[in-house]
Amino acid sequence: METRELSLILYVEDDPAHAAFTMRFFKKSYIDNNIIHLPDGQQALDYLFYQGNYSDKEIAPRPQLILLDLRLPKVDGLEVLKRIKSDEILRCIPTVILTTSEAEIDRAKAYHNYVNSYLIKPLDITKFSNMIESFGLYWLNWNKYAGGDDTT
Amino acid sequence: MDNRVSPELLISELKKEIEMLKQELAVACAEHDHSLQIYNNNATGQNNINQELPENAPGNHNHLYRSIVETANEGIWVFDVNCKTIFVNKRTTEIFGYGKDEMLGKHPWDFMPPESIDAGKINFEKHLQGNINRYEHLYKRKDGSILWTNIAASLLFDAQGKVEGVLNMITDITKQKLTEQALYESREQYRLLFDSIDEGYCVIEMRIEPGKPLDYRFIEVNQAFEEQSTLADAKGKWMREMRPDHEETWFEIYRDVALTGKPVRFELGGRALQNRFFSLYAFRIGTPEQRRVAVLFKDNTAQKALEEALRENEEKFSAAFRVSPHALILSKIEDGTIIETNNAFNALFGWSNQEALGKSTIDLNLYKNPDDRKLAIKILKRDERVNNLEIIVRDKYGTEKLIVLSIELIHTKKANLMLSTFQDVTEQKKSDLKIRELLQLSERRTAELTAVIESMPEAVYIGNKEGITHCNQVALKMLGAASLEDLQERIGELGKKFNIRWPHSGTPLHENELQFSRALQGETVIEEVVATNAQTGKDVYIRAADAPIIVNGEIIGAVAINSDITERKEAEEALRTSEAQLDAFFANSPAILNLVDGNFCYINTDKVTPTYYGLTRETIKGKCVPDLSPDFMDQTGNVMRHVIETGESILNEPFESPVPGRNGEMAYWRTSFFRVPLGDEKWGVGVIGIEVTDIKRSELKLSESEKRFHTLADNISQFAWMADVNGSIFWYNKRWYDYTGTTFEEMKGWGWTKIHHPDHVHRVMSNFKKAIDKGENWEDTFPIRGRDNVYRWYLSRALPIRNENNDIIRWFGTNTDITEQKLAEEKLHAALLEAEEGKNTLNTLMEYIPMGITIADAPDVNIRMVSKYGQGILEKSDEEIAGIPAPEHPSKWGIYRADGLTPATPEELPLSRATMMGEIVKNEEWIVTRKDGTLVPILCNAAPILNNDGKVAGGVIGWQDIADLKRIEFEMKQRNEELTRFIYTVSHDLKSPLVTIKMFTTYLRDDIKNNEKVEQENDLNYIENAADKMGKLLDELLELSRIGRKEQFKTEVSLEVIIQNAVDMVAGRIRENNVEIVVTAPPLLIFGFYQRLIQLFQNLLDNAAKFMGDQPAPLVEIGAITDKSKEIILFVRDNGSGIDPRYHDKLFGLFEKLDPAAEGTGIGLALVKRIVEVHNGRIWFTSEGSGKGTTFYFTLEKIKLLNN
Repeated sequence: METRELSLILYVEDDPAHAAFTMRFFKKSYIDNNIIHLPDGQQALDYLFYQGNYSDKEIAPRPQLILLDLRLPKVDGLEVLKRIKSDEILRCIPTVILTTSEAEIDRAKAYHNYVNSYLIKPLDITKFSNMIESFGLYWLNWNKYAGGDDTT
Repeated sequence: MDNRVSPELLISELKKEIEMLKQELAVACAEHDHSLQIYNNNATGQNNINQELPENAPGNHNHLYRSIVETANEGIWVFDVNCKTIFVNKRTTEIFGYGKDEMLGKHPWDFMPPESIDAGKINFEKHLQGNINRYEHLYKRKDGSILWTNIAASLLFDAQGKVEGVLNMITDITKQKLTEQALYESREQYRLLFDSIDEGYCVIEMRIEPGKPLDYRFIEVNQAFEEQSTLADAKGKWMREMRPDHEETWFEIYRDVALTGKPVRFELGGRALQNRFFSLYAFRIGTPEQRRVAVLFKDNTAQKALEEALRENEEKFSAAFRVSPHALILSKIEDGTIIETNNAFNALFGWSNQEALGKSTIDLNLYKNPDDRKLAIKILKRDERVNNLEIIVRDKYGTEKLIVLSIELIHTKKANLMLSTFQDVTEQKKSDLKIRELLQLSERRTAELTAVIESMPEAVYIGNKEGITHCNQVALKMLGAASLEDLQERIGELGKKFNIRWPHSGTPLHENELQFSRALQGETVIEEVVATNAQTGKDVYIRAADAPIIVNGEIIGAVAINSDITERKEAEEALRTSEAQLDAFFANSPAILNLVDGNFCYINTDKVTPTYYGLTRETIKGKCVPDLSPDFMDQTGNVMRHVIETGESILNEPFESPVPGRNGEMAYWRTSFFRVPLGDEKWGVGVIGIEVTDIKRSELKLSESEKRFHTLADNISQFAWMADVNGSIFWYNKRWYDYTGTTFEEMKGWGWTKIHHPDHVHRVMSNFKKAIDKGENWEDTFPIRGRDNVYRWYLSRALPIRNENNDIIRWFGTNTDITEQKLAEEKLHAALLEAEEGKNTLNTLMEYIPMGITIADAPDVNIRMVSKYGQGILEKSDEEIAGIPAPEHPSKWGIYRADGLTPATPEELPLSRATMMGEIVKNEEWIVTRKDGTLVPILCNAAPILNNDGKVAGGVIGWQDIADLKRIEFEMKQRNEELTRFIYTVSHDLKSPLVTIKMFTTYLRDDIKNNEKVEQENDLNYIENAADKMGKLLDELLELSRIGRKEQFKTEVSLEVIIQNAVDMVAGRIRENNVEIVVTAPPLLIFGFYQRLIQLFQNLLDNAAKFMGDQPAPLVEIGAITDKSKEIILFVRDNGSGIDPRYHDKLFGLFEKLDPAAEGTGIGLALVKRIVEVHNGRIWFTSEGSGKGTTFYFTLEKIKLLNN
């Protein structure tokens, strides 16, 4: 459980309302302190590939987990996923889709592009809360990552 | 063959044997575990031999039959009903080379070569059905060699009469078979040779029978035989039948060959063989009893003729050489060596042939003057011959002789020879002088004599037997001789020349009888003769007085003094002639010609009349008609008396003769009677009778011939008729009346018009008359009405019949029923019309069908026609397209596969497949190229065109331009994708605010409970925003879905008005951002939905104004690109923040927002795109990138410049 402090989550979500309540759930599950929230696909790519505003590696430390909405402005979530999974180093980072879309085609495309998990935003707050809790428990507690502590 | 056991006996014995074997086997099986099938009946009522066989004593028989079976010359082989071997004897194992154990239990086809197995199985089945029992079959021995067998088979029955198996007797006939094959091959070889040799070849069979002439007939002949022997189709025929005059020698020669067997070679030929020559070789073939002779012969005629000619030439030359009165030398040109001399040479030169041979004329010292020889050689070189060169030669004894030399060159293949002729003129030269002296004397005497005889009034001739030497002018005139030379011939010749003959008999005088000849013999004669004047051709009566001229007691000539007594002689002759003429007239009359006196006694008759009474012309004179023929007298007496009394002639009184003709048949006569004066006022009767029996008979024959004609004409299937020279019909055959049911009275002349069809009769009449007038053959086809009132079609013809003078005397016509033919023609015509109609239908179809149709001919897939519509697409005229063959199709029309990239091959094209393979092609897509280069997708259906025989005569392809279809299909696909995206977007984007509302409602509840005021406010804001957003989304979605539906009509609106309205609607934002709007577009008219067009510009302007970024002088330009030849493109250009090229794909997407913070739902550009689409336009944009402004371009249907 000590590893929790080391965990960094990259959270990409365009809808500020959604970002707001999701962050609340993170907070509730005590994982809010290490979350980087970005509002569109382009910024996510900039962050991950050290470009644009994030060309300085110091301000863009590697996340242990990426949480991605599918429908994003500028660059689509699926495109971001593709880019991550095409990269030698980035592809090792577990990437989880969190979206309102239940469309089969979205799920298929996501898995086709090697997504590690696909979560649908529940309409019920309790369920949403439980899901985020489980999510944190699973990915941040139980799950073991490939590399050691090298987060750069 | 004869010493073999008969199969039937053997079989019955074998049956017994088998019975016993079965018993043995049964015992053996009991002891050994044997697998052989055992037959269990050993007593059978059916087989009476078996009945006789005591059951309990098989031992002896067993031994006996076993030995028969085992020593039998034939193989014995027994199968059961399954065709498995249950028994073979020793001989069989010998024949097959297999051991008994190897054969038992096996099928016979285990021993057959593959090619005879099927036949073997069939044969076995036939056996069981009892259908065959004897045949030949092919097996294979153990050593692999071929085995031909002759098989006699019979069925074996058990007690119940059931078939138990088959017993075969096998004879090895392999050798015989192979011999037969070899024989066949040899025969073929012989036949081949026989037919191919050039020499005539025949095989004949002699007939040698006592009492009958030798003869032979041809068994075989080859083609050359027929050609050379000129005996056509001789095979099988007897020689004497074909050539009864064939020389006996042939038969004898061939007989000798047939009997002795000694071949004969000989040559034959000559007149009997049409002057042909053959070399023959005859030899006996076959056995002596067959008496066959083969004759090989060759036509040597040509060669023979050549040889003959050569030999003849040589002989001629040799004979001429020998007997020539001139001395001849044949010598070689090269060295002058003498090869041959003749007798005259020997006589002239004294050298014998022997002495001269091998020597030259120089050796013989022939020339007195050697220069003569040189001269001769010189002339010879110049002229190739020497002609009459006078030289002096010496004979063997040195005597000099004057000779004339001639030399001829003879070039033969063997040598070049010289023929020298020496003519001795020594004596001739000597006598020439003497003759000249004598001539002078003779001339003088002659002149004297001439003067004497010329003065005489009579004709005077002086001469000897060589002819007349002198005569006077009177003499010349008397005989019509032109000059004395005419008379200088032998006396005998002169007699003939002037036709000297005895006056009464007219017989020419023999040479010895001639007076002049006799005078030359010493006689003195005075006689009368007749001569013919050579000039006038008139006879001259001459009294000739001839006497010899005697000198020294020797008769040296004769003199004749002749007087012309013609005039007196002629008078005498005239009277005699008249009488003779009359008598001759009677004697030679071809008709009966009698002259009788008043008592009807014959005065003169023709030659024939007396023969009726057994008399002659002489003996009938004075005999009287009443005595000779009372019957004739009865018939003609009154007539003759009437003639005598009245002098009236009765001409051509025909009556039948009272006596039969000479040949015993009744004779017919045409007789005339006329009065004849007999002098002294007496009258007689002349009778002229002409026998007309032949005429009568031919008249009879004519009527018979006509009868035959009518019989024939009445019985032929056609109608026949005859018309006179004017075309008026005077006869029809029976068929005509049978068919028409008319009578001759109705039909005669032009009656036929009554039963002709009214539609045709006028034309028929006119043509018929025309033909009659011109005398040309007539032919026409028309219907004729039958007695049943039904018309049938007739082909009618008429031909003129002409007499010897080629004048038309009649017309002969026929009518032939061609109704069936006519019907067939009409059917054909109808079929042609139908075909024509079909063609017209096709042409019309091809002209107007809104579809490409191409028709091609098999087998080259040559284009025959293309529908008008198709031509429009291919932009080629009919002429350009017609006849193009398959290989040129792909290049001609730029045909590609459906992918538009791969050029098509000629074979894979649907039309080619239909035309060449008969394939039916359905709904295939191909691409053709228009003349302008654009590609047109087409949908093809092709099928073969079959003719009546079901063969492919061509192919047809129907094809449609499916460019529109393809475009619609593409658009549909796009629309579908869009719809999918739309639904997806809607589900996501509408769900999103819902989630928000849900979440914050729950928070709000918590916050109210916890009384956290700030948080409450915050929650409500979220909820409110989400609800607003949701509302806006729904509104805009509704709006979007309305575009293209539920619209007003499209109208023409000016661009200016649209822009004005749009600018008004976004005035707030323009003002807010200080945006300047410039319109550079010329005045334009746009056809479209007015409100939508405003919406279009409103969104674009709003967009431009919204994303100005940090631009200090925001500017938006509305312009148009109006290139004359192309469609007008409108654009809206800003100098705002621009668009990152990475986001181009997303730009027009529904609810896509590049900037999440930006105002609006992100539906604007999706709306713009939709509006452009419903105006059949396109929209795109360019942007240099972030911060560099954006230009949206778009087209709309029907934009036009206002001032145009």
